[in-house]
Amino acid sequence: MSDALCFLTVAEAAKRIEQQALSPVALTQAFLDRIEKINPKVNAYVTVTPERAMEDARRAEAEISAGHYKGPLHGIPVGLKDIYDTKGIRTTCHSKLYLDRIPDEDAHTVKLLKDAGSVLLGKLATHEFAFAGPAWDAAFPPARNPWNTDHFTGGSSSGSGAAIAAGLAMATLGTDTAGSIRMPAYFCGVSGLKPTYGRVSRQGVFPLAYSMDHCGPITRTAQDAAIVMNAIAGHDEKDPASALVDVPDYTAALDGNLSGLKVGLIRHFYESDEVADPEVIAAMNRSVERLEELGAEIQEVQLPNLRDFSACCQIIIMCEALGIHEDTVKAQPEKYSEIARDRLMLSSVLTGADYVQATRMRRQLTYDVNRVLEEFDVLLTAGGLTPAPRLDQIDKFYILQKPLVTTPFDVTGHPAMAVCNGFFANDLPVGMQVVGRAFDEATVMRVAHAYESVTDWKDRVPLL
Amino acid sequence: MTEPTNIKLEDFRAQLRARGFDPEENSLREMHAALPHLNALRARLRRGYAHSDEPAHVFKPEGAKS
Repeated sequence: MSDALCFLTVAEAAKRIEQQALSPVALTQAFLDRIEKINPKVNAYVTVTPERAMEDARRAEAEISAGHYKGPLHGIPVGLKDIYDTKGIRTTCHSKLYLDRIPDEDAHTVKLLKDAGSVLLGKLATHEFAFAGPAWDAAFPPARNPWNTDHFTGGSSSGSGAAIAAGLAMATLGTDTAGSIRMPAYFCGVSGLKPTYGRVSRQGVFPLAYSMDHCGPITRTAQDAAIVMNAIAGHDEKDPASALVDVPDYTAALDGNLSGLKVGLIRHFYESDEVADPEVIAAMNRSVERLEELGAEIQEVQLPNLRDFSACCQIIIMCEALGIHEDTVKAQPEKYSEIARDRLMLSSVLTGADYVQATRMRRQLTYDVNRVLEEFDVLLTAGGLTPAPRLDQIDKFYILQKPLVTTPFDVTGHPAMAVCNGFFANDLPVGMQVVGRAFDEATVMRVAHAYESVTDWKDRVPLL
Repeated sequence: MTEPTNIKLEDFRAQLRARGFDPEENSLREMHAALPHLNALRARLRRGYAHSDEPAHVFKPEGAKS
């Protein structure tokens, strides 16, 4: 029974908690028990905070019993990628450099989750500094895919994706600069939302590439992502990129109605710019049919080549990441994993002119996507091109070799959500992406929620 | 392009040293092998932009109305 609690959605658990039919203390204890049992198999957590979790849970239970229910995150156990600063709790960035780093303040989003009454279970594995992984010589071992622990979770929010799939947290926060929320969601068979750039504060979150870092949720469903977004979205004056744009009630938009919705299908990303695994293409074809049955009007669209977006994205990341790490990687190279160190060193061959050309291209690519979105409510494309590879078969420089289908919307800043749309024959998940107009996460989650409502992929759980 | 795509290993080593890095031999060879992939990405950025094609992020002075 206690393991079954760990696979409830936030929405399901919140309903029971509000009705006082489920105790936040019992729920939290179920997660702590499962973490103790399962985490050694998947390495999702690098730090578990049982005392803090039980303190949060007891407080939530007392508040709810006294009639002070705060909303659907009250008493909900969550985990945070270990680049989110947590006051009094070590925040390592999965790096030997920061093994003893204990922040004095919570990141802005961490404060918001706390204010919403959530329960902090601990800090989750990431690629080192959200930049390089999987690494075997970083501060902690890499997270493993709950569907097959020999396989990759995707990254860099590796623990955030693994924890949701394995039933080790009900909601997690990740970050996405080239796909680091959506790739773990894709490989782990869960839902991950990269909001619009500027929609969620990055304050107190260790940067990878300032101009493309996005914070957002990984959850079991789009409905759960909407619940988390209601808590974390909004302007923050301490984040220079934070946008002063009204935030809607994201859960109110989840009406399941897609009638007349115009969907642009970016088929060339996965059928001609790159040729995806045939099972990805088959899953996309089935998803198109399901969305049409729900009333969506789908038409193919043409964007620039996927490799243009990927080149722009990777060059910007390499330049900005080197800007952040240059001094420390020169002074203490032994503190970095080999993959992080080598990627940073290789970045040094790039020039200032490369960076400027990439940002000029970025403006053009953003214009091109905006132009298509004038005609369509959302865009649809594959969430990835292959099943999760084996952990021992990942090249150090894979990011340079094959484009990630997630990169376009880090470059352009548009909101994009990964949604599970099936399973490969080897039982690893496959997924799609729904992309929206800037600051229209509501429509993105509406489409994802409608799709999830008529499919049962989200109900599958891995055997661990 | 600022460097030829077929830069020799020793020239690449010198280039990294000039930038303050002295990688181990195995790492040097792996990075050298990855250079053509990186240069392919760089080549995609060259589009013959006009002088008026500004970067995506342009500095805005304090007080400017956007």
